[in-house]
Amino acid sequence: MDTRRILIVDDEPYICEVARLCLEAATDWTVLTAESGMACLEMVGQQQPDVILMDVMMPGLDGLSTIQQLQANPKTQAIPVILLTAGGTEGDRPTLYGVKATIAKPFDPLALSAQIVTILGWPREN
Amino acid sequence: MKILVVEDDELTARALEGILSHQNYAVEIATSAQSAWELVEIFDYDLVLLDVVLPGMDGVALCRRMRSHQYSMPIMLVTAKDDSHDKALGLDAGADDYVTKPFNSEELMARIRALLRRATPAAIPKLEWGKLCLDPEACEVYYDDRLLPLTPKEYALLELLMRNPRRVFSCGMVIEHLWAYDDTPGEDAVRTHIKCVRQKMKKGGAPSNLIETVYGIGYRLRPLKRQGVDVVIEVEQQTRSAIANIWQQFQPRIEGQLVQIELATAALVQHQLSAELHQTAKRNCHSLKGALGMFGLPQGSAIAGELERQWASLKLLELEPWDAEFCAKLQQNLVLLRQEVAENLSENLSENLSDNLSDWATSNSPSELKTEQPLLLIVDAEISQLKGLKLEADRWNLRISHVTSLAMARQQLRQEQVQAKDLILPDAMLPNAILFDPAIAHSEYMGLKFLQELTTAQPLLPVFVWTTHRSLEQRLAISQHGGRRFLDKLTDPSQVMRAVSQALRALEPTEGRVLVVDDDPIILIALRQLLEPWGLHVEILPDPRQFLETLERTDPDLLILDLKMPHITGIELCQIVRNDERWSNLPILCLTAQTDPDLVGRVFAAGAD
Repeated sequence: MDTRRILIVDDEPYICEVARLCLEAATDWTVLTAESGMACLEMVGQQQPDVILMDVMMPGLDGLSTIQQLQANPKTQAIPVILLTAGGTEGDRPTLYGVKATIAKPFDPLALSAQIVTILGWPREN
Repeated sequence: MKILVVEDDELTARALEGILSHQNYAVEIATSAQSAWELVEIFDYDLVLLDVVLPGMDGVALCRRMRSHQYSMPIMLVTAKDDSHDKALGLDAGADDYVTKPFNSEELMARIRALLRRATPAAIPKLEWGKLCLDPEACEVYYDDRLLPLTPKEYALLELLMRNPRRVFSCGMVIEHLWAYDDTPGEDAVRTHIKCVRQKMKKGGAPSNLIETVYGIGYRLRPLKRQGVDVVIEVEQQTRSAIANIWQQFQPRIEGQLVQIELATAALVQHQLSAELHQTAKRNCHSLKGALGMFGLPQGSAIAGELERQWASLKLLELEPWDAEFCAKLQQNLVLLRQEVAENLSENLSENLSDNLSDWATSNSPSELKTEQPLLLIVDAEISQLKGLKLEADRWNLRISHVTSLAMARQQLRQEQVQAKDLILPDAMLPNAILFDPAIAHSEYMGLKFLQELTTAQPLLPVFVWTTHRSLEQRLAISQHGGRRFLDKLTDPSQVMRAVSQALRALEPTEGRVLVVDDDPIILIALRQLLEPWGLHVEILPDPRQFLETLERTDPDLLILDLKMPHITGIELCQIVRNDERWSNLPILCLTAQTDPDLVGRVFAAGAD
């Protein structure tokens, strides 16, 4: 069984819920969610996800600052991060901070897991 | 309905068989407890009529044995002795009722009917979640047909999760459900129980993460997976349907975001936009842009994106008067966005109704939709106290939407008519009441014409004419065009919301009808005063002789009967009702000042609930 763990960080609860639903329907991954950058930092060390999907524009600690914090910690710096971005005012940030790739919001819920698998080069399930 | 009669005296047995078959019950007779036990093990009976005194094993012992083997059908004891000790013994052994020999056949039948009415529908269904199966009757849980050795608390925990699959339970919620109020343990206790259940599941061959932790929230059953290519389409469809449910679930939040944007727009038009409101509007546009497409609304995302761009281009610090064209575009986009959202809501609803995906719909109870706050549409060029109104509206559980031109108001209302025709559930857009300032129009004539259209097209929609005009002439003109409710613009916001709420409440359909029969007018009036605030329609009848006509006319959902009345007693009325097929399921509540057990017994025997 595929025991990968994925952490979704987004301040909009409905984004988290849709992403969780789609990933759980399509895969065996364990889906964790956090609704703020702080919540992400609090849980990430203990949970050790295989990948983090990070919203950029969040109140409080925004996505990019959160990634900086992750990078600064040896325990978490190796975790790949995929940015979730709706573009526009937040701009298209370059792949700074070891960000693997960007998934544009609104994402296609049914294609989300395939997108992640492709980005990370994970072996596909049968 | 099948009844087992256990009676060793042949004469009594035959008499019972005669009475019961006459009422169309299927009857079987056993002459000893042993033969009765053998029958019970083979056949399903709806009720057992059991003589206490039997050769060999007696009735009370048989009763106990049946209950200890999970037989749950109603059991009525027949006893020759009018001995309270015997009766108590029988009831403690699990019997539901008793009659004393010699019995009155009418009373016996009434008691049997009452028992059968009270009996729960045959079998309690088992709960299944993948290979996990919970049998509520035996209080057992199996994984892949292997019994899991659970403690009562562990069983209760699993039952809670399985009865509410997909729902996340926090430790606090688990404690609330599983422990008595005066016995609440700490949250650690819940974690320990979860851990034990997981371990036992693992030993039973189940994956240990069958109960999953939702970080920072609580626990739930891990959603089921399907495998194989042939179910991909089905999974997709279910996923879509589940996304539609999330959309429904988060409707209030999305509505809130739209209202925030509308508030900022209104403030902008009035040159009162604060930096904070500006930020909020931008942020909400951004959120909607990123989300709507995910819910199947790419157009909505695009409009939200355009709105976000517009808001971002607005430089607050450059204190130029914002031109009308800019505001108009912003408002136009906002209306478009509203339409997109409203359309999706109705589409999703109809889709959900047609889809047969009941297990996916559990997380979304329809009651959430019904309790949605009513929408007050304000049609006014500018409102000096919008913020105050908004605050008050929250307090009165109302939502506010604000349009600044007749054209926009028409647009919203037209849409409503289309949807009303298609009989789609009320959506977030649909105004439940309107505050309308006729001065919004270019001419008085246009304003009055709109008012007339509105009140003719929808006579039930409360429309408040919201004005500062106080001349008699103007008021007359307004009322000639259908204006029936006036509110002065200087009215305190809380008064405004009170008036709107009252008008809305007057429109609410009454939910239940209660018929009260009592010869005491004071009781009748008191009951009416007591029940009507709960939205019940109360019909009162002081003279029981007119009972049948009144019952037929009112067709109540509940009947309340006084027991002691002149001419006809409550018990007699009760029997009349129960003897009529049409009213056999009507709940009956009897009022009496007496608590004499014999009387209470007679009341139940007559068919009262």
